[in-house]
Amino acid sequence: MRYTLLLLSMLVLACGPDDFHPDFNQESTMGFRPIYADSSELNIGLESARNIVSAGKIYSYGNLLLVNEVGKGLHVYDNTDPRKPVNKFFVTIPGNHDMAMKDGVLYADNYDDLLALQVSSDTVIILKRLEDVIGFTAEFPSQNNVYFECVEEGKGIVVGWEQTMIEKPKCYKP
Amino acid sequence: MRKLLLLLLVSFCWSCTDESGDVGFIDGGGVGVGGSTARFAINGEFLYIVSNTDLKVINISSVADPQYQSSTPIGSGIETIFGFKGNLFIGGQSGMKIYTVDALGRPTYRSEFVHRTACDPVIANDQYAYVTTRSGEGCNNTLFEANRLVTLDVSNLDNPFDVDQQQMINPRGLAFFKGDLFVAEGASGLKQFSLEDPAHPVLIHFHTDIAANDMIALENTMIITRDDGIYQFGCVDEDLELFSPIQ
Repeated sequence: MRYTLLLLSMLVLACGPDDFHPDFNQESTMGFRPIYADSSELNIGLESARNIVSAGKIYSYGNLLLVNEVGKGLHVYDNTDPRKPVNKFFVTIPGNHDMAMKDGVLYADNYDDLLALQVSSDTVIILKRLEDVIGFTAEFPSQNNVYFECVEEGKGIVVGWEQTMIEKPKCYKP
Repeated sequence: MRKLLLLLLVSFCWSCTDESGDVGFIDGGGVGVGGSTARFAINGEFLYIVSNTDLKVINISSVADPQYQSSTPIGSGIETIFGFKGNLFIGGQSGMKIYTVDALGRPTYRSEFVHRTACDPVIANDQYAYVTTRSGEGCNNTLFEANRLVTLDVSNLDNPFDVDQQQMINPRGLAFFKGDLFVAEGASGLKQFSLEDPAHPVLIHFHTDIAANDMIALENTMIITRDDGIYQFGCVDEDLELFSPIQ
């Protein structure tokens, strides 16, 4: 019986997180890279349409298609004709990854806050801000047991994390 | 004869339009549709948000004046939420959790399907939930093959059980489109399964030319995200045709 227990605990240990030490000597691994923004990208507002650089989540609302630019905001398309979507404008929302809409109101995360926004073709109005509801941190990714590129001050403000291959990881989030 | 055949093909392709109502939260009127990797889900008068560890409830009965209502710890490694008729199917790295919500937006834990591998999204209908599990980091992945499409019978929300498992390559998002189940296989392509027997999806087409990470299925188009951008496909003559890239 005791022998079985010992065996079991060895198995658990061998597989458990306690036994895991991050390997900081490997060349590359799957992990998270901080997305930096400079100070010109930190105000919520409406800008002219731009091309997608790092596509995040997508959301369809009526004739609109929203495409998240990871950590930066939302591309808004008129998708009335799915063969010819029209890139209408870009809503700058730093720290943005997710969105949903109801009755014309756009809900979007802004770092750790949730915003209710009214967006029209010439303006963005913040209807409401709910603070500290998202679980976003700029210091490290929210996921557990992941490698990430250490945040470097001077590169800008961290507005998001993208999953990608990273070289010679030096930071680990348990 | 040829015209009839074409008509038959077209009607096959378009016959299941009504089932697109099964996709995501569109029962609340004036609500949009997100992909299966979403962390936000609207059901009725509530917006549900999953963080890595918590389920947050926001009351949006007054849409312009949302009110924070509650936060419930639901584990760790939470990645996605999918709502269907008052049920929340929550995908995480250790499994899929089912919560139900009442008319006041209060979540109740019902059950969990644990698989202890990196888990990706889940979509569901009345009786079945479809989950993809994907190899990730962590030693449990060495115990058994992690890349799978798992079909769960969720007719009893307190006791979901798997009725089908299929080997996959590297599966990610899922969507119901035209009555079929589509599963994104990353760079390998997009798999299309018949749900004629919803307990046992049958692969009917592997679109190896359509790389896909996640998708939104609308009534007549499917919007696909992948590493190099976003593409819209429509159903033409029983096949998927590229309608437009989105740049």
